[in-house]
Amino acid sequence: MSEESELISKTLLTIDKFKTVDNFKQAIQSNEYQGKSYFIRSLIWKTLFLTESLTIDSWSGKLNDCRRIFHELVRREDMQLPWDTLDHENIYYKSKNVNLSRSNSHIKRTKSLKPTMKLEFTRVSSDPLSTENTKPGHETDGDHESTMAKGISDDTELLSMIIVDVDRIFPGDPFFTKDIKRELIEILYVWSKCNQVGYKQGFHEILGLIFKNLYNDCVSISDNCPLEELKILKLFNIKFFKHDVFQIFNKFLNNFGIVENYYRDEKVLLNQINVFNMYLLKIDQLIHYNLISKLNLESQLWCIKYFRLVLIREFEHDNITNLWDKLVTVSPLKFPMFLNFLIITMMINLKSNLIIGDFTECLSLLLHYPTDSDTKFMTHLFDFSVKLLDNKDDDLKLYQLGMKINSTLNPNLKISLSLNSGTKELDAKDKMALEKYRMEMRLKKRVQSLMR
Amino acid sequence: MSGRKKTLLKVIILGDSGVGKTSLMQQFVNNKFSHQYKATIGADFLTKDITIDGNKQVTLQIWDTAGQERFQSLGVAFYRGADCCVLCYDVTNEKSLNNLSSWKDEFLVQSNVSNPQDFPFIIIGNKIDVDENKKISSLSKKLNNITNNQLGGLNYPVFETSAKDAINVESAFEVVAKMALQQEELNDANGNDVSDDYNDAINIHLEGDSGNCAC
Repeated sequence: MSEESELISKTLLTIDKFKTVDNFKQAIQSNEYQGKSYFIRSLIWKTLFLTESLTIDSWSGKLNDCRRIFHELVRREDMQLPWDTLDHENIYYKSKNVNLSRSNSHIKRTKSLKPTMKLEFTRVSSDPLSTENTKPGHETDGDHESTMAKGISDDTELLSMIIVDVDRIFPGDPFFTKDIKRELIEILYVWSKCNQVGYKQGFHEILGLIFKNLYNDCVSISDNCPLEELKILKLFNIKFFKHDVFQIFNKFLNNFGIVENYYRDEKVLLNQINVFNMYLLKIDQLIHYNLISKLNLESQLWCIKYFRLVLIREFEHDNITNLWDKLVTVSPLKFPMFLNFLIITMMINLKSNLIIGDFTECLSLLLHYPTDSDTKFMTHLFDFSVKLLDNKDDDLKLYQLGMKINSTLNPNLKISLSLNSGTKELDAKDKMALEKYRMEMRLKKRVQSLMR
Repeated sequence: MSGRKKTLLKVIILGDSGVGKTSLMQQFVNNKFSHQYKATIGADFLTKDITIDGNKQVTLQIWDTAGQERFQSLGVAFYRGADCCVLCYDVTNEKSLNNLSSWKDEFLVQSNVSNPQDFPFIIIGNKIDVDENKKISSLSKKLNNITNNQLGGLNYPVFETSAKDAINVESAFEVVAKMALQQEELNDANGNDVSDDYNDAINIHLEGDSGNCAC
């Protein structure tokens, strides 16, 4: 079966099986879609972010609307990437000529043939001759920083900043060739110019993962494709892959509150961290006590990466990809709260270490979360977090769920608490019990290491 | 059980994105270099036990930070209790050199150290393994200018390193450790040892007034 007909039949099977987006989401959340012969990852992401419907007839209009955005943007003069203003040593440097010959869009070509004021300006500033000319001046002039800053345009600076990060994206992954990286850079550049927050480190990995995960399902569509097939294949058209990824990336960052809560403003981020701490106390008092009260290990020392990268670095590729498939089915407005619960459940999974460790041990563990989680834990992780989210306003329920999660993830951890409400910090008796346990476990660890 | 308490020294590495902060830390702590480390998000840290002057055992707790990050209130948590700050630039990137003083200022504002005038800073210019023609022209002159005009004329130790080829990394961190130890001793003498909070690795103590178990 050709790639095209395979995509068509899988899509039809999926639609036939689930009928509505709500059913589809439900199935994804409960692992009923993953692993099926008709599973298509792109169908999840494109349904949730682009078409918002499993009715094929509605797709065409929706897709056109979504794709038009990026299409219009990349045609604008102020969105042209200033590759030619980069340092000539930069591996992404492209001269204007190369730019023209590589451009396959007729419109683009005519546009870039008539440079704007801005392009003239940036081109001049990157002229190697002019740089040479200004250098002697710099040497004698002690305060040349401002001159330098003016010399490099904001656009070039933005582009260079993105390149520094994209060039070191997922080191060792052969998928990210120079050509793919260039595509990522282009999407990030255009996105950053359209969003007030600009480019922030971390965006590159979020985009990179989306790009990689959806890339495989793309096909090029031949001119003589029958109309009925086209209606479906349109969704997977490689010609608009970048358009689709741009839109998905944009909606993921903005609608799910990722930019707003974790990137835009430090005060908002700090507030999120306080909310996180509060829920940690409600769900697992022992971890909260050891880390925050006793060791004075502030959560911001480690959790920023978890929030900003939506856990990318805490799991290996397949696990985070499967988890993300589920995450996007969560109501976007509830997403930041959901992420809190995911992280707390991840901490409970490390509890036997987190309650006996010292400052350095605990922080190292949290900064380098063991990425070898098994699929069973990944399922628990999502399911428990959904339950916590459903009960987020009921402190007693949260406490009870905390106990339940503990009995599942840490069946051998024997430390009893006298607490019966999850809202208070530990009392003296509980602290004693924990200290006793801590001491025993640390001594045990020591003895074990000595015997080895 | 208690043993002798090992001195913990906290070191912060600051500098522009891509100058090689992570590589320097990895090279020093793990003696390895990878061509590409991922961008640091938030911060990272590693520790290494070393001996200073042949007899003094210390643990260096090295904090690697994100080069794009200019923390405001969040920075306090990262910089608190620091004993030495490493300001990094890339010898092929003039902007990273020009930004050294702003990194220093930011550190002093956020860390709230007791002796901002003589707090130990060290400057590391990384990537000396690259071709000579890629390096900043008349670097030493420019560096001098910055030291005199922006860093208050203070003669902070300067090292040129290659994290890639393991050049000067060890010796730079040896100086870092010595300076950090001095700072720590100064803090001890002044009775404001902030890093005590972090240092209960060895001492297991029971809270409450009785050693008996509570079960």
